[in-house]
Amino acid sequence: MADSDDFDRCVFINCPFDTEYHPLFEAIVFAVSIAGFHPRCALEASNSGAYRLAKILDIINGCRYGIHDLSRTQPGAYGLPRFNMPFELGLDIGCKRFGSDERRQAKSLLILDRSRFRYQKFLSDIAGQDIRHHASSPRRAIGCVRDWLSLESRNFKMPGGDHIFARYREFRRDLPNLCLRVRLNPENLTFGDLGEAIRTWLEEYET
Amino acid sequence: MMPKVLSRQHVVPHGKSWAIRPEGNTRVTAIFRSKREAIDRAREIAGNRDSLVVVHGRNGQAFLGPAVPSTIDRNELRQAIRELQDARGRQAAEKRSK
Repeated sequence: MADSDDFDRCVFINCPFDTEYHPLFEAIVFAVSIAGFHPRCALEASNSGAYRLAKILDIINGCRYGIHDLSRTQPGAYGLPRFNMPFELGLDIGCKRFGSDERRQAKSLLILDRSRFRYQKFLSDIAGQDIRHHASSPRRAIGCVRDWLSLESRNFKMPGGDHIFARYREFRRDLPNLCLRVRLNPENLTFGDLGEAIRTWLEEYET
Repeated sequence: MMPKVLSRQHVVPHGKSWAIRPEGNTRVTAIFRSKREAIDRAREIAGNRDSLVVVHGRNGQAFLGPAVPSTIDRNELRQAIRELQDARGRQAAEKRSK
């Protein structure tokens, strides 16, 4: 598990958790893990019993890196979008801007959307930030995360996006069998179980 | 008598082999032909406490877990991964021999 002194290795993943988005979420968690970082997200707050926003603020404060996917910011069932993702992006920008120390102010944020410049229609204030588009493709999402983490952490030995995507597909191929063995449903893993499955799988391969 | 404090063991690439390097050391203490052997020995040294074993990839990156507890039995999962790997290895060998 992540230690409190792991700030420089922790990545906050702010994204939707619905079924439709799940392949992208899983791909992003995999890319963060294979690059040697701790994936963290609001799902950690689900069972903590703590006030949800307080827990999310703690996670944001504990992560040097933040991935914010705005691709599902669109009118929903009640004609309104879910504002959680843009809201948590704002909290992370605030932490970076007003953070208590130099480490917080050196935070690095990646903003993802599904198409180029779409964000300008609903959140034009973020112009000038690091914004990339993944076209709702896990392969492209992995490439975006890998390129950004490699650059921001100055790790130029990190495997390329295509290599990571190939590994991700192998992991996906193995996951149903592995879940069968440990008596879990691969479509319904908790965030902790998914992270542990990815970590153990990566450990056993020479990636 | 004070209980012995175990240090974290890192499984790291060592040329084409794999090695164990205790945390804080610059030198490796054991070298193995396969990563699997190195992981097993590191776990033994760490008293089978997974939290005390850090496994790295070929590029040196450490594979870190999630920040929340998991319900998965890691021993069972690791065994299942190895059996899948072995089965694929056998299939590939049979294909080559045909």
